Amino acid sequence: MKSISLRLKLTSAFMCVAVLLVVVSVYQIMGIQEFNAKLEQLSDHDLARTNALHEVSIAQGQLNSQQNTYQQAVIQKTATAAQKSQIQAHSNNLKSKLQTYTTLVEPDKTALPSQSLSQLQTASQKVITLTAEITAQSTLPPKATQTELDTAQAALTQSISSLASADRQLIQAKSTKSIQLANDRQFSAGILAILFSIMSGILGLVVAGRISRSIRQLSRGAERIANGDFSQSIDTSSRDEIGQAGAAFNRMAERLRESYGRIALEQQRDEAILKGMGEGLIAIDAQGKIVIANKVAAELLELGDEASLITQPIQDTFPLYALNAKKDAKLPASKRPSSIALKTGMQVEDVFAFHTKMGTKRQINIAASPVKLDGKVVGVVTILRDVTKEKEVDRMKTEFISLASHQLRTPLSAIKWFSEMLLNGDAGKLKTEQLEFTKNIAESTERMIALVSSLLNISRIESGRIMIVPEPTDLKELVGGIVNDLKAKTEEKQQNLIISIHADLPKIKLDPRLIGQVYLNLLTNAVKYTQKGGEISVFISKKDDMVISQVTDNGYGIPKDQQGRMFQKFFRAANAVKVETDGTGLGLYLIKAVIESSGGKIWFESEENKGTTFWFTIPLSGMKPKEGEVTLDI
Amino acid sequence: MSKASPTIMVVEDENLLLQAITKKLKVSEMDVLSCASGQQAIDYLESLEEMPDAIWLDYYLKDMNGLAFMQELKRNPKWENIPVLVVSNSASPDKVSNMLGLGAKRYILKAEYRLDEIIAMIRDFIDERTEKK
Repeated sequence: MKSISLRLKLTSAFMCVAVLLVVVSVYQIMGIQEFNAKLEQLSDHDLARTNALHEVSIAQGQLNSQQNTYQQAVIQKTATAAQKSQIQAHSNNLKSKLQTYTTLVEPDKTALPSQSLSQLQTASQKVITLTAEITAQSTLPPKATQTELDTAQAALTQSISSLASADRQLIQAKSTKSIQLANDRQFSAGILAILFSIMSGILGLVVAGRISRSIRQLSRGAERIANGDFSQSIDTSSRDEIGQAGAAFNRMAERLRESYGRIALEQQRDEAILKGMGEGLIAIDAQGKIVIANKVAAELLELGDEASLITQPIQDTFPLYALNAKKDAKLPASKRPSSIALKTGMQVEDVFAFHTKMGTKRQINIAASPVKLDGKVVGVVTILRDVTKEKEVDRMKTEFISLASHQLRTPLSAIKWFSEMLLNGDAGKLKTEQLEFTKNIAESTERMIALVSSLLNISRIESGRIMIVPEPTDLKELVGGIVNDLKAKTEEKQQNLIISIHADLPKIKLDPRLIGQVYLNLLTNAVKYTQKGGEISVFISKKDDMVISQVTDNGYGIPKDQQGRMFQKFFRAANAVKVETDGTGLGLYLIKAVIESSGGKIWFESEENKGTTFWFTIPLSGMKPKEGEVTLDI
Repeated sequence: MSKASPTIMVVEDENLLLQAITKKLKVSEMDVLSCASGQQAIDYLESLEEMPDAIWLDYYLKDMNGLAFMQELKRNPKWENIPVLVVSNSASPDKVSNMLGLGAKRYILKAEYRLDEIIAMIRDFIDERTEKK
């Protein structure tokens, strides 16, 4: 759509007004010109006519005086022929002047008294005729003729005089009419000017009205948008800047509507999440006052309506206790997870005790995460979860596994010991096949026993009941002992086992039973999954604040596609299962748990048929002691 | 030197295990006092003139646990020096330290050891005790 600019609109309106003014002016100027022309025309014609009349009058006078002179000469008898011809000439002159006047008077004939005109004609005719008659005789005319001439002369003079008077009146009348005409013209021009002014005014009003209406519409639309009403769009039919602004407003409104929609959707979603989530949620501001609380939280903490919690300081709304604290030992405000998160800006998660009104103790897992804005902690979101049942189930599961595993040991011992005696010949010498079968039974039993041990260890690790008792440990000694235990196996497989330990490695505070398990596990795997005559090496070095242990073999390796699952429970690589039926798939899972609970990491690199290297780290500062009920492998 | 074949008291309430142990001790040329309960063992000890050279004790017994049995032994000065080997299907640190504290010579897990390994341990205890005497 091609837009017509506001400037163009206003310019056109002004142009219209200007054109109208020019029209009025031209009309005026034309009127004045017409008036002048008329006035000019009037004076020329009337002047000529008046002059002609005047000349008639002069000609009459001359003729009259010549006549008198001739009559004197006649009396004195001195009259000459020359005088006669002079009279004739004057008579002709009068005739000719009369002729001129008659022509000039023709257009104005109706405006002049016809009686005087005809008297002028008759009298002048009589004067000319009588003069000619008298002049023809060389004597004095008879008295009667003389009197007739005088009368004619008088009539002529009178008619001239009355015509002159009429002429004056006519000129006056004509000029009065011209002035009237000019006045009329002026008046109509004025009317026209007023009319045009009114029209310009109306035009201006229309243009201004349209502009102001557009602006009003725009501002009303903007107001609506400001009030969040996006239902109607602004009229953008005017193709000027206002229309463009309207269109821009509409686009803005559309964007706003979209983002309002999004925000509303997010809000709805947040509310649905808050309502639907199984966990309790309490959010606080930087002052520790509650800003959001969901129903689950209110119910969990027996706080009534969640809306009533808003603006209350969190530490005043519900008391917390350390898990094993007495009922009167309330957790101080500074040790509450939300306070710690607010103060340190770190996420805090722990299980706390909460005493219900009924007097039962509930275990609540509280995760407090700081909310940061531009790096500043502006609040904390606390997620509360009742883990009483979970912990109970967990405890029961662990207990069950523990009990089942322990109970398994009794029948397993029976199988183990009876097959041992059979193999030993304690019940008589076995035939070859019997011996073989019994061996199979013994081997399977050993696997089963190992499996039970691993299961127990896993249940211990997973239950978190495992204790960590760090003591200054010489890694050289620890690894040496393990290697010694494995000597029988490495010798059997004719494998070369190399140990290299950083020369000034200090004693490190760690739980030798746990870390010993890690070395034992990795080395057992290396021996197991490396062919006869292979090479296995252990390197222990120091890097920054970590002790890095590396166990390398040039054995079967781990297929690429299975490497991602190596630390999964019960997973054994396909090639490992083929070469060694013995194995539970729990070793790596177990040692990963041990290392990670010690603040370290474990990873590996491997290539099938080339070998495998495992690395694990332990902080040089050692393991942190942890109270617990059990250790590994008991 | 004591008599040629040492006498071992086995306290184990699992009949099959008791059978196996008894059999193995016998083929290992030892005399066996098989007891299926703690009380039976105490009664035996009370009736015997000559004390066994070692006791194989299962921690979990139907009528009493290892701790109670050890405390019974402590009551009688004739009994308290008999070397006791605890063989259990559970060896939590507190149990182990309690039993060792009450005078048990060693605490081992069932199923982890072969019978001949355990018998070797018992022989060691007896030899050690004989040397002391």
